Amino acid sequence: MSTILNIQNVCKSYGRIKAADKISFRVEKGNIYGILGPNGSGKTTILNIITAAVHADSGKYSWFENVPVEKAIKKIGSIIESPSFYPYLSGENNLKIIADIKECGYQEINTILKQVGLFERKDDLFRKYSMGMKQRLGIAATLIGNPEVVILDEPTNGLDPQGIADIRNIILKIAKSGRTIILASHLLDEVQKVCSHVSILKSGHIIFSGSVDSMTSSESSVIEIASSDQDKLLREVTAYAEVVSAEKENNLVLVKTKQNCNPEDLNSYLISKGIVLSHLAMRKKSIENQFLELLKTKK
Amino acid sequence: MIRLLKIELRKIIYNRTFWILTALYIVLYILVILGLQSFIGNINVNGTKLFKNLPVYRFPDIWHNITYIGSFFKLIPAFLVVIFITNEYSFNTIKQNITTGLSRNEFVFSKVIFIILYSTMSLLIVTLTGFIFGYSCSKPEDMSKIHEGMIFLLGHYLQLLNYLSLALLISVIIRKAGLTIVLLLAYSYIIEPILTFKLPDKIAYYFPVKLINNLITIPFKKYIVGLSFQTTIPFTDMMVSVVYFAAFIFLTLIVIRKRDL
Repeated sequence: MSTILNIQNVCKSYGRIKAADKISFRVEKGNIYGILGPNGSGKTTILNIITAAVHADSGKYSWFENVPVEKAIKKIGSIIESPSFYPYLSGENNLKIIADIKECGYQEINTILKQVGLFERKDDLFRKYSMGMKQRLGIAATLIGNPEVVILDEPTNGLDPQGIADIRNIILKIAKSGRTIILASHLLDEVQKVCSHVSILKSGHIIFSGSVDSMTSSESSVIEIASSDQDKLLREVTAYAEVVSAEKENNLVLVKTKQNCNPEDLNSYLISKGIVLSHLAMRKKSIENQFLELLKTKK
Repeated sequence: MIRLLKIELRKIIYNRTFWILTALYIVLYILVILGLQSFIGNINVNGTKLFKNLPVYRFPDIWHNITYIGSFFKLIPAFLVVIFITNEYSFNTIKQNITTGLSRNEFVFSKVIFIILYSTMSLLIVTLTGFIFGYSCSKPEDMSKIHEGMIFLLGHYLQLLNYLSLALLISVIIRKAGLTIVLLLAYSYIIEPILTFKLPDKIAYYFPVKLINNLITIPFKKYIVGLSFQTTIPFTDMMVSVVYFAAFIFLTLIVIRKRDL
């Protein structure tokens, strides 16, 4: 697998505020890499730095294993912050400017416009576009010149539910075409639905980096159980070797188990102790809880 | 180069402000030239109209006269430069251009191309106006002197390149249209005159706006017997003007390269 982007110890301060503090991560080819964090955590700063819009104070980054930035950037499609275009130009003319900058022809513009559902409105001026259409044009711009990498910054910001669903489908389609995607978002749900890897940012530094799966399953899972005699259940279950802790919550007993203990083992153990369960369910920690927990603990 | 030109032209030709201001620039300029003879002819000195029937439109006087009028109109293209540069900031398209793959140098060069194009267009219009008025008003004996004073056309070109590149520099520093226009005007008509007020003439002469104005000074003095008047543009002045043009662009490059977007 080849490395698309390698960021090492990048720092950037705006006055006293550290917008990026020793940021390091690596994006491999084909990743859908999420950069997740609350507003003001430094997501956009990082994207600005890796697209040459902002100079880092220190640290370095490299694209495509040391391709010079000015050359690399032509192989990257990006919209950072809000989609920015010339309001007095039509959607199509705005894309033609992008195509000229990227030094590629105009022939794919119509296909791309159809792909994002803007073909019928391509001759309308950008300033007449709705928020959703502006975002679509932004995504269309990132696809011009058949880039290897697409960078999207809060692509569903300000959209209605239908618009959000549409944009997500477009993103998934882009991902299927084999491109690497870097997606900044403060919406966990979005990252969980779309991304393969994630870095979580908090006030300028990374507090978690890894695959989305490892994020959801990194900690032990919780099993809910219940039976007619809750006290006995609690006593027996605490004695079980695979159990880390158990506590009562309403009518249920919540059991935290070690990593590789499955509900079947637990159930057969309890039956051997003469307890028949009336309720057994896995409670997988949602990514949202995980995220909030990470934000709380890693000060 | 062609690529930068293509990008810049697309930004311009669909812009209504560009066409309105350009039309205004050309129409107002030609109107003032048309009215020039009768305006000067109507000047009253002690009850007599001294300057009636002067060879204002005849070769070779026409070149100096129309380029002098042209120097007053350089504000309109300067405003266009300010509007187009500050638009890039207010639409945030400068950042989009650069993150898409236009280098910072290329961005500045595309604006320099605009300045050169517009100055060239203006030069063509002034030259054409000069020929039209010259040919239709000159006497047969003037025709031998048609080339005299054509150096003022070069002066007009340098004036524009110079002033527009100053407008470019102030625009990229300030980034807001209104403030840039106020500052450009204030510098040209208030700040520099105050700065140079107490300075010896030799130094004051080479301040940017003063130098731009000195390339073409008032031509009508030649119609008053006994006053000395400008017949040509000193070579050093033209060289200094070119140096200013290069310096303003160089400073613009530095500002754009250093600054975050």
